[in-house]
Amino acid sequence: MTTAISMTGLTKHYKGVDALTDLTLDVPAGTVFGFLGPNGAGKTTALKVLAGLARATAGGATVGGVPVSAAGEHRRQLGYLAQDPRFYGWMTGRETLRHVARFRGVDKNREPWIASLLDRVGIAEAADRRTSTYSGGMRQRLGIAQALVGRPAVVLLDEPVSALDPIGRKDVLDLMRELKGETTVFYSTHILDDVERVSDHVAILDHGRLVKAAPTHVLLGSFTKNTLRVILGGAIETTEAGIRGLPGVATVTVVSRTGADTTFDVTTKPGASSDVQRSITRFAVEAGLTLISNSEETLDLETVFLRLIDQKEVAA
Amino acid sequence: MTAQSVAIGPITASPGRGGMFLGFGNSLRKELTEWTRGPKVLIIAGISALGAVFMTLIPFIAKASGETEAAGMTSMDPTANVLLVFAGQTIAFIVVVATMALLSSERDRGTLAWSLTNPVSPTSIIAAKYIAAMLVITVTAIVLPLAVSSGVATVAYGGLPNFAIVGTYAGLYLMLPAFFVAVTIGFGTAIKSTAGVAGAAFAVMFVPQILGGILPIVNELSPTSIGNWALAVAKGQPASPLTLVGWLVSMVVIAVGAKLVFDRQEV
Repeated sequence: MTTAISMTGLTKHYKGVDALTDLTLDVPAGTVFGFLGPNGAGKTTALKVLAGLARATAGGATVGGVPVSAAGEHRRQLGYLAQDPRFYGWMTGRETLRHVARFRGVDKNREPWIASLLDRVGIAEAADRRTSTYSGGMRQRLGIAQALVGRPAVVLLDEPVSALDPIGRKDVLDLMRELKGETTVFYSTHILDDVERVSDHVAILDHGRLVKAAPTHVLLGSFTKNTLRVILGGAIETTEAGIRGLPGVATVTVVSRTGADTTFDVTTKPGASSDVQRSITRFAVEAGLTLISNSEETLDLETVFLRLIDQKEVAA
Repeated sequence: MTAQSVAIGPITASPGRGGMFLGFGNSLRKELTEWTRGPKVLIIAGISALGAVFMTLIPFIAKASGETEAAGMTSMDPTANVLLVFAGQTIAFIVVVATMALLSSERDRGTLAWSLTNPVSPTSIIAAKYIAAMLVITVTAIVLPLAVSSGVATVAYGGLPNFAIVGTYAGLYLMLPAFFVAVTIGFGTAIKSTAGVAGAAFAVMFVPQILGGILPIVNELSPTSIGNWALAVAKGQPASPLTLVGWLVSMVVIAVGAKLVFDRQEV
């Protein structure tokens, strides 16, 4: 898999503040990569360094293989949406996209392309209004369109849904999902649910340091509860004891009984989940029970996040 | 967002010129459009044209009112009166007021940061601002008032001015707005507030005059004297080359300083 963004030892210190410390991270091409962290973790700083709006104190980065520099060459490779996007108030939305398109050398089919983008982000009706009349949500939508207008290899989105209402938030998340495979989306957020919904990769940042980076499913899978949720049809009084007797099982709890179905939470000894799952399958067959479910319970991202980051710091 | 899903592309993207002037053409287009859509062009043109009419007619009015000797301006020569158009600090003042917010307002509005997320170099942004401002000022504050003044002088003083002298003066006098636009943009790269830029630019305008009262060499060396130098050259009078040297050195220092500061700036 090729790398769209590569950060090596990226460090940014302001006076008295270590905003980013030795961040080394590769973002695979074509992914939707969530950059997660509490407020003040350094997410915006990292994105600004990548966009060339701030200079790294140490380390370096490449975007689409082009080194990040103040000269701006690497910005041919990326589209950027700021946390609170601002545009020239005297330009209309369409003119704003036209302006960006010219910067990015989009010549042929420019007008239909701009019209399609305005439609895609849902501001086609306001396309010929001055942006000074736009609401925050409309600016955010225009910001996403302008980030895409040059069809960049990488799109950097800084808190893309934070200013949006629930409908706008859903629209933008859907759009981000659609972009998977078309371009690389690297976005910052502190909304865990959004990351879980749209990101195939996630990196967690805290106090300017990378805490963890992994594919989302791997990250979530690596933090199991050592608990299996087992639903058996036809279970009887002795079934619970039978499961408890299987090797690797620590505890068994009956969660509910619905008709003939009984739900158990089976806690396993560390590292024994897979073996216990197989044993339960065999047990059900031998006991003539119907195995409806036998799955490992995983943690949601919020729990993983809180485990990785000191909860007191998050609260602060 | 609509339910329609429009695929990204196909589009044709042709990378423009890169390097130090990456994105310059589009930046210049934007700057010129912004100037022409705003009220500043009309205000500058109006003030300049009215000022030109007034300055050109001073001897005519003085003569008509019988106060020519008191006014100390007795020439009825059309050329001499057209050359009065830029007397005083009017142009420098107009230039400073018109350009003092070129960078600071963009910084305040957040559009400077946005612009810099596009493939455009910081040098292109300030170069485009400089050239656009100079084009606008050349037309509205130099060419227009001279044209108006020439017309008024022809009618009021009964003859065409000497266009060779007037043209030479206009061409050389451009160095004065060129200097003050450079000053406001140069200061704008380092000073974040509009008031700060204006204060610094007005200091550049007036401090050399004050110092020149004590040390005459300051007047000769100061780039703010380039207007007087231009007038002297146009009239064929002696003009100190030190003024031209001072102007050239100042422009280079401002250009290099502004680039170095702006390239390192974080927005």
